[in-house]
Amino acid sequence: MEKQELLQEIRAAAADKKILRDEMIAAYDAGVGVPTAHPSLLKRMNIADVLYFIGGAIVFIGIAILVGQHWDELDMPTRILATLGSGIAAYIVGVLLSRDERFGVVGTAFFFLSALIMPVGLSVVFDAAGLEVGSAGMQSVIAGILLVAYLASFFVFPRTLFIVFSILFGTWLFFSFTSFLILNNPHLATAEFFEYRVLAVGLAYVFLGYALREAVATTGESHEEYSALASWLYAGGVALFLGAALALGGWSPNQNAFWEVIFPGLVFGVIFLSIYLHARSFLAFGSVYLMAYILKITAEYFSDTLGWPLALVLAGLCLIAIGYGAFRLNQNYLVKGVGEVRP
Amino acid sequence: MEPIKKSKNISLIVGLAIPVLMIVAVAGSIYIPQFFAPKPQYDFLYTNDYYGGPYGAQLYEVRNGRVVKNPPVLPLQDSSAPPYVAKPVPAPEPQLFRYDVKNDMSKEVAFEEAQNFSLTTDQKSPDGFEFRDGSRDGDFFPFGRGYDYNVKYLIGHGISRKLNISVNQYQYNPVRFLGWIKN
Repeated sequence: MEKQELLQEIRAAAADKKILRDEMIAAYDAGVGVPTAHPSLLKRMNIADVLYFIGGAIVFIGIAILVGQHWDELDMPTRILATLGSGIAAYIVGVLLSRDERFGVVGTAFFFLSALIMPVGLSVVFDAAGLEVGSAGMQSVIAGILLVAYLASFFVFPRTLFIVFSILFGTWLFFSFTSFLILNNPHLATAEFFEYRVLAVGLAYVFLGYALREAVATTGESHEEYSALASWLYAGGVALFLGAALALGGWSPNQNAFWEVIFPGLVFGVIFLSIYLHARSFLAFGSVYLMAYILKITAEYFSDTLGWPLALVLAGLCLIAIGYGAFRLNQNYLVKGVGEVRP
Repeated sequence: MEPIKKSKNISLIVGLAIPVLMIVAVAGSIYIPQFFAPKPQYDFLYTNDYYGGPYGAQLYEVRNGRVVKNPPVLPLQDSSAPPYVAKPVPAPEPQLFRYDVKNDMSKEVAFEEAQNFSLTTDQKSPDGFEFRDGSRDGDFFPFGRGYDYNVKYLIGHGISRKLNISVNQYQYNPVRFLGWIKN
């Protein structure tokens, strides 16, 4: 093929958008042997990326303070424009910047800013409509709208940020909707009901983290941000789960025997799962909560019988044993197992 | 690859299903017992002398299963003229009400009629229901739950029934339960 014919073919393909500029450059580089950067390197956060997000957070704080200081002076359309309008504008800017990969992270920072402002904007709109924004019902509506919006955004722009905020808004929706359900049922409005909800959320986070890890493992692509999110879900989930389980045990004389008896089993299960899942957060939180449980039990039941000082000695020895056990588990199974792929 | 994909999908489904199942369980625990719980049978007596009201000490109380009326202690108002002696100020007397649980309505009763009621001051009625304050609306996220003294409920047998009691919302805890009417 002559050179001119080749160039004509490329012009025609570009006009029909059958080939992108970056693809053409990559093909040329591959042809001449120019090494291309690994995709994971392109996605690693650097200081500039961190500054983008900090800047977004500071913009949000600035808008919040500006609007808050002049709230009484603003009429309703201006309030809506300043809040919901800012959120929508930030989202649109994020969409526009996302079209160019050079500004991908900047676009994500604007999506982040939009996610912070949108709840406030929706609250202002519903308040303007005369609805009680602080009620559990309205909180459910706001959270539901945001969950749908950001979940849809994830399918259009597959970014980790949208998963993060979908999970956050989904959690908000779960708590507010269950509060709404029990509003006219005070026999359910107990402290235990809150603890059971936290237990359910913690468990859900762990399963979501596992699903995310498996998705990364099976696609064969490097998605460091998804792996990082999975780690955070593991850590948050196990912390919430064990915290709620410990709280459900109660305190003598109003303790719940079922949860106090079952808690050690849960903790050891979490510690052993740390080996299977290669999740250090499981080992860390499992150890911490086991220590907390031992301190709680000795204070509850043994401080009067054995004497407070002797109970503390026993508890301290147990904590030393747990700490050493956690260290050995980490050395034998987690450090050595780095790089292995678990089915 | 296929078992791994199934494992990924199952864990995602389970992760999303846990909160949904909890919502279903909560809704079920609210609505299903309503079909099986017995209806309350015992009316109760209450008064609207409120905490910190003009009568200070409670005008009505229950002794030996009967409602009694204490001597009224009217509020005093400082005098702005000599000899600057505080004088009692007339105030509307608190009323007694009988709540009809079958028809969900309150009816004012005179003290003379209420004296004929045989009352029990147990927290639970003979058929296992309890008179309780509501929870405050405006529960932002999981925090901020409190009592709403303007809304009252009958709670028992796994259900809550909102009572049709109209109250003065500007008074603190404006309804005072006196006792369950046994006859």
